[in-house]
Amino acid sequence: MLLIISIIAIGATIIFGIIAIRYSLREEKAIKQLVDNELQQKQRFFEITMMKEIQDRIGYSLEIEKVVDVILGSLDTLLHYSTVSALVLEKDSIQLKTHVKEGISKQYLESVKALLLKSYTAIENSESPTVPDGNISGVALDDLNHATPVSFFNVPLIVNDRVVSIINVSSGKQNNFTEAEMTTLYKIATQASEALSRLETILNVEKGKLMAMIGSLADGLFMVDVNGQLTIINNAAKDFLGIPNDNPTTMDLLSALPNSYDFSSKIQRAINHKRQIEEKEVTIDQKIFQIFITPVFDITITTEKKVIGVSIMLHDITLEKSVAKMKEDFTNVMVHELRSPLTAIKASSEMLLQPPGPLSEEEKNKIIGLIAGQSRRMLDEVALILDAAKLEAGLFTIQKLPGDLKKLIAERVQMFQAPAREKFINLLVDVDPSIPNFNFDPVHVGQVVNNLISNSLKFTSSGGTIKITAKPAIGSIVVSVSDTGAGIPKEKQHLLFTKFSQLGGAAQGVAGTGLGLYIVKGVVESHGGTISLESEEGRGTTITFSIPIDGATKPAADPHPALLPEQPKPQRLVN
Amino acid sequence: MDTALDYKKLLTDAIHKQMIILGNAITLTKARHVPGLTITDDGTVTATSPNPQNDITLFLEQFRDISTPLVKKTMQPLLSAVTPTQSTPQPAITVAPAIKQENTNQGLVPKT
Repeated sequence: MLLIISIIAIGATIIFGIIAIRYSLREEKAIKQLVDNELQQKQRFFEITMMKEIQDRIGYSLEIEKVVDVILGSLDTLLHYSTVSALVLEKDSIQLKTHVKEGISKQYLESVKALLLKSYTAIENSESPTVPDGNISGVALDDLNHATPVSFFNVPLIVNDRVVSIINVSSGKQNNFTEAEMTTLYKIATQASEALSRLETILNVEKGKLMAMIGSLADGLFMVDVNGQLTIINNAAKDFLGIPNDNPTTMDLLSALPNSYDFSSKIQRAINHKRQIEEKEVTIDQKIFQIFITPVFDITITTEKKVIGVSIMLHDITLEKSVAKMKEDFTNVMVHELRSPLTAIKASSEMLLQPPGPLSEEEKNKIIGLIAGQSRRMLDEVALILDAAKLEAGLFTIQKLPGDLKKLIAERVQMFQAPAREKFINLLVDVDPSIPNFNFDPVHVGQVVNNLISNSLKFTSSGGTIKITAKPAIGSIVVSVSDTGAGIPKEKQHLLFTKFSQLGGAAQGVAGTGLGLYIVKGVVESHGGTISLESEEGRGTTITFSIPIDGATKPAADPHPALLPEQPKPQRLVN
Repeated sequence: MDTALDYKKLLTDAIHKQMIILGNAITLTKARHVPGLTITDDGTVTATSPNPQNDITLFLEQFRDISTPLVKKTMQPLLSAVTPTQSTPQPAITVAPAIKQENTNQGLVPKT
């Protein structure tokens, strides 16, 4: 009986023991699971916290150092280490930062630096760069500690295929880092790299847009940072300053600016006073500029205005200045042009009212004729001014009528034959007889032909030639007036069809309001035609205009072409 | 790639390079997660599975967990080894070539 009880007791003990062991094992497993979960939660929380901090710190700038600082500064919560070092590679600089957690030797730090440089050269397949020792924070070094970095791992930060940093975490203890710890840091680095790559891509796109916008500006624009380095320059500025270099330096810029213009001190003044400086008139290479030097502020700092450079805008006012001068010249010319006939009219009418003696009928008629002639001249001048005013206001109109351009040209040429003969100038005409009758404003087109021949006569010396050509082209008639006159200098040709342009006519003793060619252009364009100029100084000028054929009819002279034996040759009048 | 020896050398070279870039511990840990590979402590691959291309694919997967740009930048020989060669032209009436190519290489094409 006792034996049976003993066996039962032993059996029960064994069963309870087994149950206890099983429960114990299950509990241990549960505890381990709990610890693992807790560790995972901790690592996940660390990841999220780090990423949030990185996002907050980088904002909209690509300062790699800030990202590295966040990682370096938060590493304590993830793992135990002796040192954490980072190689930071920014645009033009490379630096090493180290945080020492345990008192290690200088030799240890040298080893870490060597590990980082080896890592960099292996990734980039490049020579080892020269890196200064950089800044060291944390606990003091202990040269008596002979530990070496036996445990370490490197975490590269790669932004758009470029290594921007490598972080080294090291310890003097063997197998100090678990895979989970290292993986967490790699995950953070990967996410930071992706965020930085995205941001850099966005910033590059935006910078590209901004550069395209700056590049397309007609005004010259460049930026200089606080250290005097040229950061941006557009093509207009390079053209204005005559800088052929694709990547100009500050020195190129300074040597292109006139010596008299103390550029450096003006930039300094804009930076120091934090306000725009305006230069009303600066002459650079025969052009006149308005220059604005404006301080550029760092928009990421809201508490104070921090100047990060200056932008310099060159606004070309050469044309405005020459137009202002032309207006002034025009006023002088008009006063002269109107005063001369008025003086003659006044004198003539006074003579009629209070004759110094008895006037014969013939003398009276001569004086009245003079008054009438001078009045007509004045009216013509006033008509020119009115046409110019209408053109400017967009109110100029033409009246198209069916007409014969060949006949009109012949009539106008006839008018100039006598003055041409007086100046011993050959007046040649080559008008294609196949030009059809078509719709155009005969009064204004006649004025155009008059003006062009008259100008050629003014500027062609004795013995020269003036040639008027007219021929049909596709959908239009092309008329050109060429001469062997003085020609127009290249730099003044763009002013030819502008208002008040005399282009030195006055200097050559040739009078006029300077409105003629402005109106010529207006008349041609009102017909839907075009006008162009070819001129070489000392060799002559050709002005060509076209008038679209509108409502063309067959030439009256060609009613039955089939009956004509052959096409008549172009008419040529030689004077 | 002709022989298993070439694959071993290719993997060994890649491991040695990553040991310099990332450090020994993390490189060996990640590389040893590839079941078909036998790797010594100095990073030499002494054995691969019968399908070494698959070993390389799995090896690359391990390092992509660390950094995809790093893999792209430093493991070109391995990436080239598993990049599919030009597929043989398929009869037009069976399957569209683009789809056929994609299906054929499933699991071997590196993630981008």
